[in-house]
Amino acid sequence: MTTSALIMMILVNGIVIGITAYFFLRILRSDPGPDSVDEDVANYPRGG
Amino acid sequence: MSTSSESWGTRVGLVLAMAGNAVGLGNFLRFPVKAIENGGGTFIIPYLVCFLLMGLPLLFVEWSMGRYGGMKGDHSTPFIMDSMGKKAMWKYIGVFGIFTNLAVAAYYCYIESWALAYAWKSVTGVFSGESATSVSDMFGAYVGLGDPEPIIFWIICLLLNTWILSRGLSGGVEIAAKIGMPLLIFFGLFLAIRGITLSAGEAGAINDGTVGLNFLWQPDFSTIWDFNVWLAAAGQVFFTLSVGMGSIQCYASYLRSRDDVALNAMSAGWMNEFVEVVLGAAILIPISVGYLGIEKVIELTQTGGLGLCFRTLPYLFQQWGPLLAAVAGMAWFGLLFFAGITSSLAMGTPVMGFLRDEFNWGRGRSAWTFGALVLILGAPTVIFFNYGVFDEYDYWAGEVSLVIFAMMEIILFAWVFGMDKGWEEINRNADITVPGIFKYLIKFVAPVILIVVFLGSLLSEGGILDKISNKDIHAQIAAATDPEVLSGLQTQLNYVNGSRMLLVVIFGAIAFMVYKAQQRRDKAAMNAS
Repeated sequence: MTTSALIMMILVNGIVIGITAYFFLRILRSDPGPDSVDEDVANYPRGG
Repeated sequence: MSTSSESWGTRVGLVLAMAGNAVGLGNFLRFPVKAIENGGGTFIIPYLVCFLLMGLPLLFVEWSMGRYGGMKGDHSTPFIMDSMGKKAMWKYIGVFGIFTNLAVAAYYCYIESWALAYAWKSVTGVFSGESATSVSDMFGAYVGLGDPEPIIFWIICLLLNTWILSRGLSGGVEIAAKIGMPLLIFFGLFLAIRGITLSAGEAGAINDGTVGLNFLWQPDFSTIWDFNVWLAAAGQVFFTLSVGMGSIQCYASYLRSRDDVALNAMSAGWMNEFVEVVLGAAILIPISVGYLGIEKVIELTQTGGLGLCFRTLPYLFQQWGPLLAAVAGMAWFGLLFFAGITSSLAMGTPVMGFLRDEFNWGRGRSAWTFGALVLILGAPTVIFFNYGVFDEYDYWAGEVSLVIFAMMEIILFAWVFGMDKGWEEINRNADITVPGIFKYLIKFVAPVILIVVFLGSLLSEGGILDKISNKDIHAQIAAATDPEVLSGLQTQLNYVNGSRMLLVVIFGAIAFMVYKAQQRRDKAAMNAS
């Protein structure tokens, strides 16, 4: 591969992998699981 | 409106389902071809800029529109938009959010079934010992419906989609995403490593895998200021994220009020980019160039990535020996199948959401109705594939409708609903701080890009206006001298016009159902008061 193609590939792949991993890790760390639907109904009555 | 208690089971499941919605066949077949056509490595610069300026803003808008509508009991775009716009016209613009899903699912499930059939053929060694021409001809015979096999796989795909949808979000769609997405990434990594490490002389390869990568990533800065390259980049970002369909709004409408949309949207969006840019670029082109050379690959990609995928790759895998060929074939077509099914499931939910909300149908009834509609509407694309019906569905429902709908929804969100209220929606319970610049991107930049993309699609050579007037087919008719060819083109013209009329009828029928739904709502409100 030429140096410019290699730099372009590594740079773009690195940025995309890094950002994807960062956001997905934040999702994994904060997964709260299902919570109560009742709270929603109280705050936002259906059809309101 | 609905009192449905349907919801997502876990946040990871939701993000994987959203990413699965976005990740489709285009990530592996369209992206590398577009990159090659538009300056190789340089294409990625306008592509990423468009992702930041238009893709992410649209994701924020669609996620927050969905959650906003869901809190009011609306799970499909006609009434989500109605609640935001307060004028009757918005719910009819929202018809696009059901129409697109139904019409795209009608042909998309057919491609999905090709992937399933080819995975099966790879595992059972159908391509073993066959010549390149023979493998290529097999695909022509397959779509030509030489035997009932394509119909059987298509029906299997439809049944599988419908069954998963009938099990609901957490019990069906979410489980499919949790299985499908990791497997897709695993298969993709396996093939990417194989593609990158391919060496010239090994198993008949004429080039190293890196020759293909070089071809794809070599920057050509002379194209960077080319308007058409930017238009192609914006188009690719647009189609890869599945924005402008109404499926993101539908998925997000099942969020709870205290759920975040900002981090979820970021995570799902970037996961799609990972699959497209990292995996999508490292499979099709490196392997094809490794065996066929750059000139031949350019020639084969003139008609898109489908030919390379189904006509060429099964033969190339055979060069790796029977065992690895079977594994590679299963991985390649398996990943395409998972990419397809996680998207087609997302197309089913807005239709189901509409039927459940407005006509109080049960989950099973809505799902099987969706399956039946896809069967009926998809039949012409299967039976008359060679007459261009499939391409018509793809163009009008899979491209034009998306652009129109996305343009209208961002105008609604930023200018009618109001950017201040919209910004509040995006940031409500957000787990990340959304940079303030996105407020301006959503209000000014993204709508301008979308209008430019729309005008580009409208006026460009071979664009909407040319399509409407059938310029291409008329030119071929004018040039044809052989009566048989002339008759074939005339028949094609009839099928093309017929399929467009069918799409208009579908749109009109959905609009009529929206009208009836509004009548039911008015009646219910009158009875309540």
